[in-house]
Amino acid sequence: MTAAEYEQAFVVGAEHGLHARPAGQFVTLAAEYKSEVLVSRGDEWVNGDSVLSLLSLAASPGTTLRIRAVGVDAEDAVRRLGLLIEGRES
Amino acid sequence: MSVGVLVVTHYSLGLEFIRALRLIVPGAPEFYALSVEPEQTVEEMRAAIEETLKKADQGEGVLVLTDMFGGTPSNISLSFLNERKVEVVTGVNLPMLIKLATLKKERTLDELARFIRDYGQRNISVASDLLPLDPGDGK
Repeated sequence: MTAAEYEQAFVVGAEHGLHARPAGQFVTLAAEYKSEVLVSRGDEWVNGDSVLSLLSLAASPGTTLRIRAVGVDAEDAVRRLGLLIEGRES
Repeated sequence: MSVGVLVVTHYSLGLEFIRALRLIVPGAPEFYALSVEPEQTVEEMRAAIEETLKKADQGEGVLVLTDMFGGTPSNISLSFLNERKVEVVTGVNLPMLIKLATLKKERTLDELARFIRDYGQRNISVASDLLPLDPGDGK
């Protein structure tokens, strides 16, 4: 497989938004992938490997976030991380 | 990360910091915490810190995080600077611990101490500055 880029938007569904624990879960899950993961709210992009950067997005329930991954497992990474953002995977 | 991490604080602040860290990052590496109690003698405190430094040191030294420069936990930790491979960073906060637990890049003890000091300072915010002006943006 060659490096690929994949990006998709998700709506934050977790009851309290993207707070500390889901952000920690996100970083832990992102670390399982080889791809580099980025997350944005509007025009602001942050690294998906930093809990504090994710928290700085101040993403409350209903906020749309975009997840972008670059690497051999980009699509799978975005899909699973997206489920987490939506509160459908913990 | 092969540099050890030890949090030394008044009472059990450090233990509680580690508890909070494990709530947010359950897979965090083993960090050590020591509570300094007012009824302890200096010798007792020193012995406890020395024992934990030995446990925490995997060969690359130990980063000691204390709650406040000038406090007893900090002062006693500083007394090990010339004896062991130790660096002391004062004013520990949760962002520093989360970053240490999720670091990918290996750093020497000295590099790590300066990096994490800067990181801790950067993550003290006036929270309203971080909030979007329009709560509906990005939707």
